[in-house]
Amino acid sequence: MLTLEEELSSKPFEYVPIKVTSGILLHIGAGIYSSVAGAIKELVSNAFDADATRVVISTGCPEFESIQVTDNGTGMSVADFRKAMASIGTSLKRPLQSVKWTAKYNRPIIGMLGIGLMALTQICDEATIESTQEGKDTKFVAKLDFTQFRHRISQQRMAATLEILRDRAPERPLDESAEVDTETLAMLELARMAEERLAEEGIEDTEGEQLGYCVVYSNLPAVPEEHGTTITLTKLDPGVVTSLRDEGRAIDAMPQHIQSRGLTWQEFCQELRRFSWEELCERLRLRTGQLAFNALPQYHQFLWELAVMTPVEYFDRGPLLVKKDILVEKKRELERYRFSLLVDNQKLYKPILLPSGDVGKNESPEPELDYYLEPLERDDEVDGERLRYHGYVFWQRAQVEPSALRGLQIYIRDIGIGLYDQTLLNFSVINPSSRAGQMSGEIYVEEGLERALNVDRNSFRETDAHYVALQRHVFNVIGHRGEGIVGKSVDAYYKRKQRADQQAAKAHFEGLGLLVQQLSNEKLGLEVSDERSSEPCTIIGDRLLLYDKFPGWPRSSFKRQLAQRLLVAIEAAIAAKATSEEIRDLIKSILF
Amino acid sequence: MVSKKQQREAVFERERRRQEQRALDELAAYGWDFHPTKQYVRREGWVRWIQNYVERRQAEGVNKPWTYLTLPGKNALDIGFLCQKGLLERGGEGFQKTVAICDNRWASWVEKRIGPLIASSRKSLEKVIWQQQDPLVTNFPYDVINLDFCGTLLQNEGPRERIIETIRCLEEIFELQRGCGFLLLLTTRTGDDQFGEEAEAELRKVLLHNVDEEDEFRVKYEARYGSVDLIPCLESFTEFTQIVIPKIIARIARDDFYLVVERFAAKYNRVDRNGYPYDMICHTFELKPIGRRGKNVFEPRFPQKRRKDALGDYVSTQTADRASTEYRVFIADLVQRPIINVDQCLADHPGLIEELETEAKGLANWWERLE
Repeated sequence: MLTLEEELSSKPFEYVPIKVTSGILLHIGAGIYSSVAGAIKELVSNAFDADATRVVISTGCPEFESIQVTDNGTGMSVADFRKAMASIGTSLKRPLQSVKWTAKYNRPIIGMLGIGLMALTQICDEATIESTQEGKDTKFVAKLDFTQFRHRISQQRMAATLEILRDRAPERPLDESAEVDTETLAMLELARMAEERLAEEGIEDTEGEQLGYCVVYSNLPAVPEEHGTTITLTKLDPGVVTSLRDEGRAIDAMPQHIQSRGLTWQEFCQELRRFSWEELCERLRLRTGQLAFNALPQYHQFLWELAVMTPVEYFDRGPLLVKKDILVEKKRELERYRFSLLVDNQKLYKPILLPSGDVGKNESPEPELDYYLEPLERDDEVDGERLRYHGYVFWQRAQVEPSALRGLQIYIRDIGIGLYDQTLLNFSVINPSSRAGQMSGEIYVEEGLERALNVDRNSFRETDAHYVALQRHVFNVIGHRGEGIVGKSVDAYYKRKQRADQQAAKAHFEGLGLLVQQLSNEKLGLEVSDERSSEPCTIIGDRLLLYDKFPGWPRSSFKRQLAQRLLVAIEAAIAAKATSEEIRDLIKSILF
Repeated sequence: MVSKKQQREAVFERERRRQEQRALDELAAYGWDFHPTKQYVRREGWVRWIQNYVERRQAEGVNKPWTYLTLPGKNALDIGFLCQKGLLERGGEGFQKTVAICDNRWASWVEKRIGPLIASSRKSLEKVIWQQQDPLVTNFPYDVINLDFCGTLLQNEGPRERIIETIRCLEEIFELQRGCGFLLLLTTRTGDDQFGEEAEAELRKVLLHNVDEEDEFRVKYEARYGSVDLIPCLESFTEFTQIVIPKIIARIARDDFYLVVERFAAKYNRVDRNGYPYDMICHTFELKPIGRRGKNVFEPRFPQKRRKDALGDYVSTQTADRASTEYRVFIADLVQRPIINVDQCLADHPGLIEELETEAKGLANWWERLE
């Protein structure tokens, strides 16, 4: 009998083309952004590339009927717009080229115009783009309609369902007289109907997918000296609106005291809107009023995500309140970009303020005891391409608050790639007992790693050499038992324990001293000796010497302290010539 | 039979015309913003009286920054002019403690230039005013409210109901002020082409009511127009509107126990894009809470917004009586008060035109000089 290999080698070669249906593009497009903030981020990135100094987003909260993104950037020409419309996806390749810089503020170009527009298909059916180029006296208005794209997605989904029904049906018996059970009959009928429907709808792949259409009205008169782009999104996806309005969201997620006041999510959202962005971030940092990230209205989570992912500035005191010089160059660079983002009249800053939670409440947390900071830096060649990044990993002895800051945030060209990776590049998956929830870090990748970006631009291909190199570096920094941050955290635990023991001992001996003075009627004073002695204590003159290293003391610190207390109390009472009755009462008062 | 393609193209063509019209309107509004006439109103009607008001407020010992609600348009020159005059405080990166804006077209645009504000709404004032949770509403009362409508305050669409809706909006503004003193700057378009018959009838009713019910008004009206007939007054629609609008304001003010002082009343002529002339009227009213003195004038009288019929429980009978008297005195003077004709004034003082033009041009891109 021939083996499989022998059998194959005996045949002439076979050419099997690998095909990808263009319909897959629709699925990629449909699932490219997992959150509203992820899609809006792309529009903000476009404004950043256009050298805008201020981007204003107006969401129409709490109704969310439309979203408007306005910038004062250089604007775009009709030709640029037409090009972007005709070839969405080509700009995906742009980040792979060498870094380019904007003319006015020397910002690294993110280059996602096409993707930015594709992002719109995720959140609305219609969009209006109005843009005036700097120095031009005309503008253009483009009306985009994505309903066709959405229709194609639903058509594709239906086709997939119908195909499953058709293909899973059992084979009809060749012998028509043979008996067929009812279930098979029903399946066959369904398959027939599916086949018919597929034929009726005429669903087939096309050469290039059309996302929709747009009508451009160019050469409209523009107001002199005005420039910039305004994008208005209308007919928002019902899912987007429902989510932003917190409709159908369980009240249980709210902080307890808000629940007890009987507020709705909308009312809670309005109440939070009264806080400035910094106040809100501070409340989350310290969990004031039990405010946690998951207890935030969706609108505020949207703001948070936007602030993390876009190149806005840090708060003056951020990101690390305990170490001002960390990321100092990056902070200066972001200031130099002069880029600001206002959402519903609220200026956003990076919401990163550490230490937080219980450690944050401590007015003067101590390094290597309450927190530990490890800078990250690299500049070398990996797999033939330069990989350059810098950042930090921060550990604190309690959980990082809010939870959205746990993990690692990676930025490429100052744009956040997704949100904080809570697995620490899979470290916590490999080491489940790691202190992942106590760590927070940021890594700014200046060169490299872009090739590892997945099409959603929110995650990485984990087998890419650059990603692996970064992952190894991070793993080394985090380390494990006895090494890296994890080792430091263990040391910190023992140091804290030791310090606590010392403080407890000090308080204990101070208490004993007072007791001795009181019981001996000020005749004796306590002195604690570190010398080893066969006696637990002796009286020399007016001093009661307590030998802490006496080998007979019990090992348990509680029992040891009790024994010491009893002994010195009795000795002091005897010295004061107390009666046996008094001594008995004294012992009782100490024991019970 | 019209093909689908032709239908679609017709829709696109209509949209193109709409976009073009919109762009031209913007351009015209932009140009008008820098016109000496507009600057005259800004200078004499707004800034002069705001300065006066703010100084008196300070003299009474109110030290917190005064707040300004405006419908700024694209250039927000009113805010710029107040800044230039050193009247508006600007802290941090914007006007977070002093300015709130409402503009269904330009709110984001203005915010983008001048930074964070107390509140900014891109809905029309008539809509946003009813949304109790909107930051623009929750931040009431304001010290100065500038309702610079480029169209008519009393719209012609949906005749009577629309007028009532606008009046209700004004009433709501007064209620939200909770009895706190304030300046109300009102600019609106007149022109009988703007009114439907029903709307006009509604306004006539307002005037007729005063002629019938208020003796003092009737006497002065007769003296001014020679009879109690409405026709002579209606002959000049601008004049008619300039009586009716302050009358409406005075009526609302009376119900909220305010005394109205008209600081500035003017009119000027504009020509629309099609060459059709129309009048714009502007008024500066100071609303003083009756019976309040010193610092209290500038603080809310009622701790929270009350229903109009419940307001009487919070004021003395003396205050209520005085409100009625002040109302009668105010409306009686309406027919005979001098109204500035800005066009005439500028024609008489050609040097002023140049001065105002330079002043207005100096405000262009004023926000850039803030940074």
